[in-house]
Amino acid sequence: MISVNGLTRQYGDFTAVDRISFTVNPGEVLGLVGPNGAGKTTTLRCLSGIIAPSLGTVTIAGHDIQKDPVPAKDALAFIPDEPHLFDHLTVDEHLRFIGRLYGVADVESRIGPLLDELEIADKRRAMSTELSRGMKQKLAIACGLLHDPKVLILDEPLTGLDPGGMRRMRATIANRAKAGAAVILSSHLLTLVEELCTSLFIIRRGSCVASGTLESIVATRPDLAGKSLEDVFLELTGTDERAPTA
Amino acid sequence: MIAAFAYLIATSTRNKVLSQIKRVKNPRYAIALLLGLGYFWMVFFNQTRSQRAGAPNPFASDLFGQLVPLLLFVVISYFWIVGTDAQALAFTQAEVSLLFTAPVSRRALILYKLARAQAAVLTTTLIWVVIFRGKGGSVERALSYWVVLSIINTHRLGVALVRASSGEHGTAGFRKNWVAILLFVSAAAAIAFGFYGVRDALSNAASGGAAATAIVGVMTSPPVSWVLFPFRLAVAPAFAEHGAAWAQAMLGAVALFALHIIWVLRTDSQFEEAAAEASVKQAKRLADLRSRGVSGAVLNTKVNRRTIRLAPTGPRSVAIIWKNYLFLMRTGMTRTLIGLPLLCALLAIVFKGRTELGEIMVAVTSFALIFVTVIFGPMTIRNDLRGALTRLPMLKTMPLRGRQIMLAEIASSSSPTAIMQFLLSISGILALSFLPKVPLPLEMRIGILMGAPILLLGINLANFTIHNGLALLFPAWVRMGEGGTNGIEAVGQTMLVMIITLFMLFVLLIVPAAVGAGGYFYWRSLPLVAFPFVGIVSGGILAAEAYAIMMMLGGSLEKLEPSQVG
Repeated sequence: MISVNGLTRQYGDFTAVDRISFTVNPGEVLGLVGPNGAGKTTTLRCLSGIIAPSLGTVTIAGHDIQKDPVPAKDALAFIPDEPHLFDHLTVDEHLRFIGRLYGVADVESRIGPLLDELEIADKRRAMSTELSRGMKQKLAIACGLLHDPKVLILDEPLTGLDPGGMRRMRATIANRAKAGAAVILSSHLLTLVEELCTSLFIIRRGSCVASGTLESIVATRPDLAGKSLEDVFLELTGTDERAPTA
Repeated sequence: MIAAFAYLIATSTRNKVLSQIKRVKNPRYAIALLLGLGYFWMVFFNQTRSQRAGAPNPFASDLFGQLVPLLLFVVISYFWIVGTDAQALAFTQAEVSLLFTAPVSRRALILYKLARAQAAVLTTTLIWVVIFRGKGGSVERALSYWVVLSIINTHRLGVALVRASSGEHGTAGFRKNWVAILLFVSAAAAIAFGFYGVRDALSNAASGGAAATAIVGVMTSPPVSWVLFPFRLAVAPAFAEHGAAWAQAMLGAVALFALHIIWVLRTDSQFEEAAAEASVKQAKRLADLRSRGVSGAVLNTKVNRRTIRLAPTGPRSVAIIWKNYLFLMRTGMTRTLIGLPLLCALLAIVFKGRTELGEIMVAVTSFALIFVTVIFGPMTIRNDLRGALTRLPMLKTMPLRGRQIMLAEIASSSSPTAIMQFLLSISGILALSFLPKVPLPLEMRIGILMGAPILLLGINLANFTIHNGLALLFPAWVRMGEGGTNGIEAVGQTMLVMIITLFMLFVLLIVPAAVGAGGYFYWRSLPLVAFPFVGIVSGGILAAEAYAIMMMLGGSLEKLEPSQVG
């Protein structure tokens, strides 16, 4: 469903992402993790068609996102960490706008349950400027989920959500994957990654340092056996800066 | 604290200039810069030559010298009556996060804001020195323009503070600022009274010269001359001769600028006093006021939640037009776009059989507004790609081709502008039709109205395509966002954009104008054919040109990346 082959992205002389390849099948949740500046956001932006790769290809639901962008984007939803909303539209109007963009014929019957699921039904007539940070994030998520995407790309989806909202969001992601969506989840919350992801793609300085299930990664590095995901992550990315002891 | 502010302004300006210089490494920007510099060099060169040849210089004209202070009064009145609070009081998000939470008094923040505006004032000064001529050398002219721009900027900030104080603290705030408010109201009343006194002389003026004499007479006699004294003081250096006369004029203008700074700081002090008296609730409202200023939001907080129905299926790009039309509704721009022509039409009906001058004024105003909105419309109505580019990542994930987005975005702003202009042409023709001696035959009037919609749509499509195209191709140089320009900081950039876009519009008009003129002369004896032909064919060619450009720009939009914007 998502196929990335030799993806490279350069900014002048700097290579932000260097020849990475992976595949995410329907029902799978891939955890894209790495330290700050590793190239995660650049990767996600290439996958969602916001920026073009310097080399390599990205295929979404069988369509090359550069050569055939409309059907590729039709199948995907990208939910960024910072919600981008329109100041002059209400919550309801945001969803109607997205519904028309993606040709959702039954938009009317979808809006109510979706807003209920994300617990913002009471804000349906509110302008986006009247929403709190967490509510805005929920609206951005609702916009992403409205057209029932086959591919879901999430960048720090829990940012700004309250504990209840986080729990519901975790359930939502799991349910979407169960329903057959291919999901890529980028987050620094390793417990979230551990809970939801069926496989990992660990990136450092633009290159893949490990990929596969946690078990398969540990199998290639016996010294990591029995360690938590956090320890595995810190070892593999070389960012193990333990807190100083008093 | 001053050192910290100076450091912030200096480093921000230096980094901004350096980043703009880096842009020139891109061949597109380099070519544009060379073309721009070449164009302005030619303008400047020709200007110097024509000055030597003794070409007319508006700054040498007494009438111009008398009218400029009046024009300045109109600008100031706009600040007082309409208000420019949101932008005048606006701070960036970073400034709010770092400065509002720092141990900095509000007075220091106001001083910082005044100092920060100087970068834009100096840029505009530089552009004005190149564009405008005047008396004196370049340095003298630069200083003359700088002082008047600084006074306008400071006055605007002062008005914004007075309005904020009155808005926030009601009658208490009003009482604190009663001197400034009374001064403005008295000045406006005196000018209105002065012109009311010569209404007969103006309406009976046999020629433009006689009307000008009557206007100058009003402006040089009390009470109008008293009221306009500070405005004359502000612009006096631009009209003064070299040497001592200029220095004396400059001294007066600088003194006026200093008085403005004192007034702004005093207004601010009163504002803080009023805030100190306020309750916790009012303090929260002050925070709200500040946060509104931060975003410079043009959105009406008592927002109209009426909506437009959007069918869930159909051409997808219609969703963009729908969203952008809602922006016009929610910001009150629809009222202006429809209300202004309706007001003109209403006045034409009211004046029917009562006053010939009134009908002429309505017709002239209607046609003048069409002309003005062709030139300035795209700078005010910006519910198109220029607004959307601030959310480029979102735009790029939409399942639409670049050309579809371009078409929808440009249609969003050009179509309401064309509708407004067509309604204005109806009100103008209506006013002419109510004159005792109708200057245009009925067939001609009908012909004009038949041709106008397509012609106006074509002109606006071309015009808005140019403006959006510039934003797309030179995103680092063109101001983004939906908000219009009403600050002194945008004057220089606005003038540059206006010159460039009008030149490009002129180029696009060559073929349609030639074809239209040919058709008109061929059928000129048949107005019912000639005018619709001109409108439909010329407008159609313009629309086709615009469409071809939009298709090309669609590819550029697909290649544009967020890092290139801003």
